[in-house]
This record gives sequence, structure tokens and C-alpha cells, in this order.
Amino acid sequence: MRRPRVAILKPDYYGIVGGFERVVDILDDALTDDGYQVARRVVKVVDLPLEVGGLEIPPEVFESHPEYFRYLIVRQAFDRIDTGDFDIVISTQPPSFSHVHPRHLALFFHHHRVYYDLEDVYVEAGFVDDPELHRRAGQLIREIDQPRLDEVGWFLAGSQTVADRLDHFGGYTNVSLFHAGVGVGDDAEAVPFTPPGTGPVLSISRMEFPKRSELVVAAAHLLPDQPISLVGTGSRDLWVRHLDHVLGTGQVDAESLGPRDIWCNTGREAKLVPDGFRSHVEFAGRVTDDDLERRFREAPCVLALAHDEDYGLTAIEGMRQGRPVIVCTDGGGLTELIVHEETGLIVEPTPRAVADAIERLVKDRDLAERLGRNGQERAAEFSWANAVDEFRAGLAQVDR
Amino acid sequence: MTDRELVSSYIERAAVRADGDLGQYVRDRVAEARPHSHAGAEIPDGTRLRGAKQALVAVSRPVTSHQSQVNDQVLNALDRVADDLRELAARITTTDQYVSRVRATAATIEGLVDELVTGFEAERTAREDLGGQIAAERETFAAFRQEVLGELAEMRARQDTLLRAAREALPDGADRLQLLSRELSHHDDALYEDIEDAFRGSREKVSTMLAGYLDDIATVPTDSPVVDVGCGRGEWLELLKANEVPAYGVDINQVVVDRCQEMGLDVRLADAVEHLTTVEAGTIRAVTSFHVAEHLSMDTLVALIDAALLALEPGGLLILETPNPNNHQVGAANFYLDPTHLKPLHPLFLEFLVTSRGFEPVEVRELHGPGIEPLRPTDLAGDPARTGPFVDALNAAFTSPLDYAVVARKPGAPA
Repeated sequence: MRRPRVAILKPDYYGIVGGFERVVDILDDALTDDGYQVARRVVKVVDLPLEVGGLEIPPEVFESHPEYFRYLIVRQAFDRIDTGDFDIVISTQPPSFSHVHPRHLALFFHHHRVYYDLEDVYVEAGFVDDPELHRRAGQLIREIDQPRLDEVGWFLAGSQTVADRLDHFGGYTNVSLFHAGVGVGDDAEAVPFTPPGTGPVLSISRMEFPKRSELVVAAAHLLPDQPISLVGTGSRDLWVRHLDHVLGTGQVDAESLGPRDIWCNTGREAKLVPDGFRSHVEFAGRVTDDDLERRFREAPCVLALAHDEDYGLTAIEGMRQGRPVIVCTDGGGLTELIVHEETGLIVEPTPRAVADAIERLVKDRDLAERLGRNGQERAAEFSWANAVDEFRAGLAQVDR
Repeated sequence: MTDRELVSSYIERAAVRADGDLGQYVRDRVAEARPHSHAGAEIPDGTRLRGAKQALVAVSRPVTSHQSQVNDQVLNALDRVADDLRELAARITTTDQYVSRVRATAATIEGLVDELVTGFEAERTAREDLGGQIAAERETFAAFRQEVLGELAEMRARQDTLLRAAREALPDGADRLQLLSRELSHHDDALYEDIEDAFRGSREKVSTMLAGYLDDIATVPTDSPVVDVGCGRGEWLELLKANEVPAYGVDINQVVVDRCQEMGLDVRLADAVEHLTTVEAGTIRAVTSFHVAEHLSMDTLVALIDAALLALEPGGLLILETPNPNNHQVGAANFYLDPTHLKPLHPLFLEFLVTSRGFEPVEVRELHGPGIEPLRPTDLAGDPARTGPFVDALNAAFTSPLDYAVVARKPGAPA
């Protein structure tokens, strides 16, 4: 008997390899184990010509609104992939879901967020020169996405937050959840519990909008005696360091900052920090796995302060390491993962609230230990084995 | 058209193309226009100055009376255009499908090529990584070697210093040192004899094991003496004497010499190598040495073989018996019963050594079975009486405890 054939659709944005690639690798293995024949169909974004439906987009027009045109071009590329020979199609990142196939499972981690849930905050931050045009583009994108989303047989949403967005933006209820596991490849080894450390508070995040590394730095400057480390780097690195400098040298008072001033911007105003400036905030950049493990051990708590995350692997990793995790009330998926006062603390997204929470956990070690232990227990639920089970349940919805 | 308008128009047109239905677009716009088809013919309720405008319309009625129909017809015409467009779009779609199939095939092939290239690159990276690791290991090893060499030199220097200090501390210098070492070695002699008594086996047993060699001696038909190097308790010399074979022993162990002489055997206190090089060359019938070779350093062993070759008459025999490390029990454990054993000699090595020093022919003869029948593949399912001893031996060899302790008590009752 012929083995059923599955095509996994994926855009490749400039060869960036992230968490999603791991997810796809693991699901690919699971499908192969289950007797499917799996092939990947990758659209290389960088190779696509500036053309939509035969309408050539002049480069200057493209550059005036690249997000929009690129989305349409990539979407079209997924349209043109031939999956006639495949029994099932699994789409991944947007806009791969726009491919039409009678048995279509969408592994849905997010929409094209700047035209959906992030539209307002993106405009507010000043990333678009012409807000009206951006909103018009967003409306058009949603209009043309909708009929394709209607065709999707089943959605595996990356979190309840994502499922809620699917409901909000289209009323979709043919949705079940898929919680990605932690660690590379097989399930990460269990971490032996150690009581929360007395070293630097740890924040792990790419420095991108709206991950809010700025909030970490601002909170840190309300706690001048508490060392804090930021692991990770990104396009907002300069801005975050600039913020550390102006707060550290007293040019700006952390208390005086409005909650959104520091992070809801383009970060283009950043100035280079003079050589030799050091504050109690450490910018660790990229670190090795061993180093990261040590930092977890030494940390009294872990910060995951991003705005409206799809999911929140950092928080799960923090819990897995037996550390209480601080997240913000507007953290999206992060707030699903943390139970306030049980596995961590959920606080308002202000420097003061975050600083108070850190101080509370550092001073009350019993509390920190209790939250850490609970968190570790909770983190065990996020295994790849469970993720693959959730995936199989979703697959069963289209494979019949 | 301003830049913004240009961009805006492209955005809209691109969206329509992306949606793939131009006809629908026109139709939607027509649908939007239809409620206004009466434009120019009526004045809607609530319009400012409606009365005046209504009057104006009434006055111009003869001119505008057909406006609504005209508008409707325009819209109908547009509707048909939309239909045509839809049909055209459908045809384009069919063509597009062909094109996209071709493109898709190309993309698929490209994807496969990409996967291949990625695979190759990953492999190349892995190989480079491995190369780097090997280089790093080599560096580590070189550093380690240097370190060891350094430590060795240091130890040698320390030992030399110690020896010099010891020599200077002794008033009569070297003589006293030799005396001291001789005293020490004689003390060891007694200990060694005790060990041999304890572990080599009974005299009768040893004699039985050695009797086979009498046939070998008989193959050298002369009356020259047999020299036994390291004669231990003298079992072999006794055996030779009983068979009227001229023979004497050479041993550096004072205790051995004394004991053998008491038994009326001819045993001389001498270093074997020294002795064999001082006897007249070609005058010895056989040089025998049982369980001695494994006590000798490589230099001494080679010197002994060379000296024997010189001393032996043509066709004379050199017999060296030593524990066989091919037996697991011997090689792994029993060999070390004797603290003066240096290291086991592999039969191939000893054969090579004796051959390379000029003996020919050289025979390696395996001796003294362990008294257990070798196991046959069919045995394990068969008679436990046959397999039992072997299983015991296997168990002893492989499942004996990994460590042991000696717990000793000083004679006398504790207070």
C-alpha cells in the first residue's frame, strides 16, 4: 500500500533558523514514524521577484511598503506550489496557510502580526510613516486572508492566546492547541531542583520589538543593588544599552518614565554608549548552553516581560529550571503559562511593578522556592511527547 | 499623482491581483454604485435646499428624464464587462495553472537541490568540525606529553640528588651501600622462598611436571653437564641426579644455595649470566631455567639467552619455562602472586626473542592444562557434570569480586 504523502509548507526568510525549525523537525520525525511520507516545500523569500499576479511592483513602490508587498509575493509563491500529489498539507508560518488543499492542517503560531494583533502597537511605536496607508493595507490583507483561512481544515494553535486571535479575527473554532516542548530534539533532561540562587536576575530574550528588554533595564535601575543579566541580542540592542546609559548616569529618572515611553518606539533615537560605561546591568549577548545553565542556577528569578507573546518558551524554560518567573499582565501567551502566586508573578507592565516583584522574590526566599518548585512541576507538562500527541490529534481532524 | 497615491493605488491593485478575482472587484464597485443610479434624477430627502434643487430638477426634467435609465444601462454594461472580466480571469487562471505547475515543478526541483546542497554543507561543516577537534586533541596531547616529560626529568633529578645525598651520608661510601643492598636482598631471598613454598606447589607435583624434560635432555647425546639457572628447591636437579644426568645449579639466592647443598645437590652461588660467560664456550649440554625469565629485566633476559648460546655445545638445548599469559587466570591474576615477577612474557614474544638471538629450531610447547575440559558449543545445553567445572572457572575469571581487602590481626588477645 502506498504510504500517505504529507507536504510541509514553510517560508524561508533569509535562512534564519529558529524554534520553528526544531518544531518542524520533530513533527517530521513523528510523521515518518507513523508511516507518512514527508516532503518539505520551502519558499525562499529572498529569491522571489517583485511581482503580484503579473503586476510588477516598481522597487520604489515596494520599498515604500515592503511588509505588505513581501507578504503578497510570498503568499502567491505558496499558491503556486503544486501539492496535487499530496494527501495532506501542513502549513506553518504565515502566509503558508493561504495555500489551498482539501486536507489542510495549519500549524498556526501567529498571523502576520503587524496587520493583525500588533497593528495598533506597531503604528503607535512609529514603525510606519503613513499609518493610514498601513491600516488600509492591513484591511486588504485581512480581506484576502479570510477566504483562505476559511479553507483550512483544522488549526493547531500554538497557545490559547493564538486560538483567541483566530476566533477574534475570523470566528474560527476548528482549532485545537499545540504546545511546543522545551529543549532541542528529544525531551530535555529533567533539571534537578536547586533553591533559587543569589546571583543576577536573569532575562532571556531576543532584543526585538516588542520583547520589552527595555522594561527589564528600567526595572533594574530602580534596584541599584540587584545585579541583572540580559541574555540575547537583536536589532534593539543599541537602544536598550542607550536606555541603560541614560538611566545609569542619572540623565533620566526611571520613576519618571511612562510605562510605554521606553519600549513602544522604533528605538532609532539610540545613541552609542561611551566606552567604559558599566552599570549593574549585564549585557551577556549570546551565551553557551553551559553558561546559560549556570546563570539559571545562580538566578533568584527569571524575567519574561514581552508584550503579547504568542507562546513563551522562555517562561517554560525558567520554570523547568525551578525558577519563579515574572511576566506582565499584557504578556499574551506568557500569562497562560504562569499562575500568579503559584508558579510566578504576573504584574503590570511598569518598571515599578516589575522591580517590586523582583525585590519580593529576592527577599522572600521561601516564596521564591515554593514558586520555583511548582513551576518545575508545571514545566514537565510541556514535553515533546505531549506536543506530538496534540499534533496527532490535530492531524486526525484532517486525515480521514 | 503623489507618491502616496501611487503607492496606495499599487497596494489596492496588488491586493486585487493577490485575491485573483478582478471581475469580482468590478462587480463590487458596481454594486456600490447601484444605489446611486438615480443620481441627477432625484434629490434625496434631507438634502440642503432640497426644495430649490427639486424645482431645478423639475425644470430640467425634459433634459434629464432619461438619466436613471442611462445610469442603469451604464451599470448593466459595466456588469457585463465584469462578467467578461471574470471569464477572462478564468481563462487566465487556467493558463496560470499551467504556468504555475511548471514553476512549481521547477521550485520543487530547486527545493530538492537546496536540500541536497544543505545536506552537503552540513556534512562539510561536520567534517571541518571533526578536523578542528582532532587538531585540538593533538595539541592537548602534545602539551600533556611535554608536561609528562618535564615531570620525568624532575623525578630523575630528585632521585639523583637523593642518591648523592645518601652516598655522602655514608662514611665508607659505595662499599657500605653495596653491603646494605646485599643484606636487603638476602632478606628478600628468604621471603621469596617462603612465597615459592606457599604457591609453586608440592615437591612431588613440581617433579612430575618437570619429568617430561628428561626426554629432551636425552636428545643431546653427550656427557656434558646440564646447568639449571635459578634452581629453587632443587626438584629438577634431584630428578637429573636420580637419572644419572650430570648437572649443577646456579642461583643468586643464598637461602636456595644453602638448602640445596644440604640436600647434597651441586648448586653454586653465582650470577647465571656471569657464570655462563665464564665457562668454556661450547661445553654445556643444556641450560634450563624454570619460572625465572619472568623475574628478569629485558636486558638480563637477553644477556642470559646470549650467554646460554655461547656456553652450549652444538645441538645443546635452552629450556625456558614461564607462566602462560594466554590463560586468563594466569595472565590476569596468578602471575601476580609473586611480587618479584616483572611482567608476563607472551609466548610469541619469547619465541621471537630466542629465535632472533640465534637459536634454531625453536619450539613453543604449551604445558600443564588447568585440569578442566575445554567447553564445546553443544555442552551448555548438555551434561552439567561436564560443564560445571568450566562454568565455575568462567565464573571465577569473570564474576569474581572486583576488589578485596586483607584484614590482619596482630597475634595475642586484645586487653
